[in-house]
Amino acid sequence: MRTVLSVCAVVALLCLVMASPAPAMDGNEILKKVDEVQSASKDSVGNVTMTLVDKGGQTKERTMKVWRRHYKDRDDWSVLKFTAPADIRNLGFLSLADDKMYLYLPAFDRVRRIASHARKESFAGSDLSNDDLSTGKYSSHYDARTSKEEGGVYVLDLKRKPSSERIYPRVIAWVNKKDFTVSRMELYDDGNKLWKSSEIKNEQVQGYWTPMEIRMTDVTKSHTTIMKITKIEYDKNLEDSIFTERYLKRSVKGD
Amino acid sequence: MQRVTLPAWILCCTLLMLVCAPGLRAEDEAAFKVDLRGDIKFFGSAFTEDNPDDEFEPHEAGDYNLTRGELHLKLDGYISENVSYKSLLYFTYGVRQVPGDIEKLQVDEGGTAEADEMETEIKEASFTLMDFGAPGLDLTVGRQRARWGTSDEYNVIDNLNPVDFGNLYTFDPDYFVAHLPMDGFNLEYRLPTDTTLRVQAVYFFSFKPSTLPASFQARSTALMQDRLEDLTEGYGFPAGTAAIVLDDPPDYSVGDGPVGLRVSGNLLNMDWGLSYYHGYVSLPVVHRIESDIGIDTGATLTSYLDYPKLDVVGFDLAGEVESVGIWAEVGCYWPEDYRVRQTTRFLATTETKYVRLFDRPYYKYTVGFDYTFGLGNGLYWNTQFNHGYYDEFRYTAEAKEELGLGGAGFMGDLENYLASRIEYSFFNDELTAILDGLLEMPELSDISGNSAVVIKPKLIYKPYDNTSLELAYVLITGDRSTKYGAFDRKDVVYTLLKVHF
Repeated sequence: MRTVLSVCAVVALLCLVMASPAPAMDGNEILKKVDEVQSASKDSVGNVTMTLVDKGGQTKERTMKVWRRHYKDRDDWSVLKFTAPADIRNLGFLSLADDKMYLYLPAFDRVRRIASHARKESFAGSDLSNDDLSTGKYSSHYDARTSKEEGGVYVLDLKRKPSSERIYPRVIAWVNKKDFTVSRMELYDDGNKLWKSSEIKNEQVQGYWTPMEIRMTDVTKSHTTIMKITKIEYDKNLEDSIFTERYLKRSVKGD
Repeated sequence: MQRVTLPAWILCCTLLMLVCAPGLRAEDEAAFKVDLRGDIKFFGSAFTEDNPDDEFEPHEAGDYNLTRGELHLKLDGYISENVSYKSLLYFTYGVRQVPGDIEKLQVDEGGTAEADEMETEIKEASFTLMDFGAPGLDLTVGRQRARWGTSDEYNVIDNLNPVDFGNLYTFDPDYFVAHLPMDGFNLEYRLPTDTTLRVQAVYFFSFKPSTLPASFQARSTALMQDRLEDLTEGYGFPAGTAAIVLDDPPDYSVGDGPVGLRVSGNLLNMDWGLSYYHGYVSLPVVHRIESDIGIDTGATLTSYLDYPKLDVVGFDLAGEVESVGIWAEVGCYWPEDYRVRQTTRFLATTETKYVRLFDRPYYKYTVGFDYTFGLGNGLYWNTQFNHGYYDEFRYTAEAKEELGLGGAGFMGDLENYLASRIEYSFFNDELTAILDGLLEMPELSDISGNSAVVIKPKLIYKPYDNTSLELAYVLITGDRSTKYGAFDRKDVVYTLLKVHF
């Protein structure tokens, strides 16, 4: 009898343990997962259309081609070349690290090293700053805590690390539990006031989650920028030679 | 049967061509795609105050300083994956259409009158062979600009292409320290093991001088005339004449083109470059002076100008410290041992003496930084200190004493400049406000008594994509003996309109 009771107790204990939910992920662990999803592929090349919408509804459009190589343990490399409009066609931007960026000015046919302070500036007149297009990993620049969970989403509260020079001291990110893609962000200024908000639509392309559309709104100016990926290909084994000043100076072949 | 076969053959061939052509076109589509772009530009500047007594450019407020229209056409493309070409054509026309010459108003046999001046210039026409003979080796042949230096605006080691001084003092921002294109070879090799390490060798076919400011001859002759009058004052000779003559420029030959070699790379996150230039000084300097003094005829003074050889070893650096962008360049200038021969003939005597012109070597350098403050959309600040401008030399004390050279002014002695600029953009870069300033300091020990200041507030408005309107005021004040101080009372306001296509 005592043996039967002991066995029942052990079984009950085992059931209790197995039924307990897995321990919740730490905010930093979730943020690392986000970085992993965003850098899952080896590299990518794609076309992007950027539409600027002012509060009167008037629009301006820019198109560009982007090459990117993803790294797990350091900043990604990227090359961006504008294809339209005409006054910025072939203007290029090479990023090898947060503090190693180059700008190609076709009007002067020169490549200029630009310092990381340029991250504060607006990217091509849009609501995205150069910082928003940074190739650095979120987890390198922010500490995250999970402020709440809303259905299938983690809501992360990111605080800028003391050593980081990112322009947003605080970011709130909505991260899908299922695939660790980011669907929404709120970006705050130094006074902890909401500065920008973004909505992101993610789709899978070649098995990789891709932010096919990013809608960034500067709430202080009621101005919106919509970035859409019109074409993207992954794992093309991009050569090192693409991520050089030499390539930056080449005329872009429009598609 | 035959009547049926021929049309059938024609039909089959036509169908075959129609089927295959898209495939052929698709393969070569990217290769043969031509990119034709350009812009139309209008620049106009006007004086803002009266200066009717100016010796060289008398004017009143509202008089145009310069009005000019330009059409630029750029044609780029790829012949194949590794062969690209680039061309840039400038059409420049003067806006003033009322000539001072009746003859130009008359219609010629072709039915047009020469009332409109236009110049055409091929600014660039080159092709590039990438991975030419080896991976990472690029060869660019043709008319081109080989720019050296990592400094933001003013580069002391950028000597391969001569400076366009003809436009420098028009205050047209597109021509600020513009360089003239040259024809030749430009070979660049990027080491496969290190994507940042590069070696570059440039050879331009022949020497090309800088263009000169509009009043260069008049001013130089006037200086010579003053000197002549100083020399002959009190002797009672009749008034003489002074002249400057271009004498024996470098030959149009293989050995007279400039050459350059540069190695560059990245170390500890700093871009660096080491360069060597061998060529000629691009500005004409005095080579010999001949004066003839006749009791009855008076004195004549003729200055013969030439282009001395020049070697420059340069070093440049760019990077950042605590997110502040920094850069520096230094050039060691080594002109040839150039002596000016002075010959004076008076009655039956001839006296000749030689004066060494340049100190050897001398140095030009620049240091600068830039930073964006996190105010609103970002307040950008750029500052640079320069020692020695493009047109300046280090003359010997003997040359200054004997020949009256040196001092401040065009082609004067090495001076110091502090240039600073702040920029702020509004309305998502639709409007940019810029405040530019320049302090010219011939002697650092005497800034308050001998200097010039240029202040240039500017607005750039881009109401639509591909259009820009720029409005600026150029205010100059300072000692009249300085380079920019000579423009005192020549303040201008200018407008620059541009449309890109």
